Amino acid sequence: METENDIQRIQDQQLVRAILAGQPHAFRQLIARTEKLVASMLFRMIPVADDRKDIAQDVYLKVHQGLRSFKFQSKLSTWIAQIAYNTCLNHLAKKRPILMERFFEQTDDDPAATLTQQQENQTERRLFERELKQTIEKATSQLSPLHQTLISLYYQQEMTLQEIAKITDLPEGTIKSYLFRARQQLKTILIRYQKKEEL
Amino acid sequence: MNSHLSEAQFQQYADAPKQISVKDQLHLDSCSACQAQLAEYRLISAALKEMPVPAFDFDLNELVPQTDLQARKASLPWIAIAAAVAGIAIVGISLVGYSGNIIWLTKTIPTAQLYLLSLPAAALCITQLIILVVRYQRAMHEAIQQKTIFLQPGRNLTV
Repeated sequence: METENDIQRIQDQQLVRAILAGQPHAFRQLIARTEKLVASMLFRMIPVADDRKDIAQDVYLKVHQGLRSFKFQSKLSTWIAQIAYNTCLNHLAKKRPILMERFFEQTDDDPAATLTQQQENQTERRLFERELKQTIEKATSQLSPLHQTLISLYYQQEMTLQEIAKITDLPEGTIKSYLFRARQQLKTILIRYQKKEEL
Repeated sequence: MNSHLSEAQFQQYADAPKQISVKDQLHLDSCSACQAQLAEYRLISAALKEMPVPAFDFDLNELVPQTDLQARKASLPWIAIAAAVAGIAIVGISLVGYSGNIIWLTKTIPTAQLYLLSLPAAALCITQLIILVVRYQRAMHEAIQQKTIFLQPGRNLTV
């Protein structure tokens, strides 16, 4: 019986064959299938909006050039995410070295502190679930770009730790500990808000 | 009463409730502190999953035009075919034009010398072909895997 992975691989193979055969719209289909994944990575890794356009173009040109050598050892989406990750790192290293250093930095400062100060200036209001989600979203944006990228791949793109390890070339244990730390920071924020609500 | 669950367990169980062991489930059923902790992490996981996925404000299909990709793909075989045809034509014309000399050469030159000339020439051609293929594959691999800088988080930025 075919597993989900087998079906995915067959779909990937069909799509790649169609692109290599020069079938019209096949590459469009590939873009449509992976655009959200690439966008979610670029938005987390590249803070300068103007740069994202060039990088996105670069990523898909590399994908097209490399399709012939793609051996289906991983999902097509994982391979494209790997290209996107490396392209972003190269871009940061060449064009934005300061941001590159920040990319791997651990967020030692507590993002909750900044948020609380911001929120304290606002008028008191009840915290509903929707607001809580917004709060967590805001807090997430204050984590390091690497943490944000890992969270996005794990929760939004629903990738496994193995897939993320393949994309980022980081050991699975390291990814686990980064995710652990990120969630802990978010929990601190949550507790502060709950306390504030009780007051 | 069992000891409380660890932070790592809360996080793991919040993401994968089916992984909760029987022992931990028994503890959770009787411990309100652990229930509250687990509930907090469940809230966080749910919020993270529901975070809006960003989208590009430009059309990627326009940035990567299909015509460019097809032209790029089509151009290579035509060049290769033209080069092969030209090569075959040159060799063919030479063989016809110098057929008399070639026949004379093969009849007069000792077999050993003929092998001495032709084998290194064939070996050279094959080696060149292998080098070309390997270089192309390496260049493609580097273009995709290229990672100018990678490193331990937060440290050692080296180019």
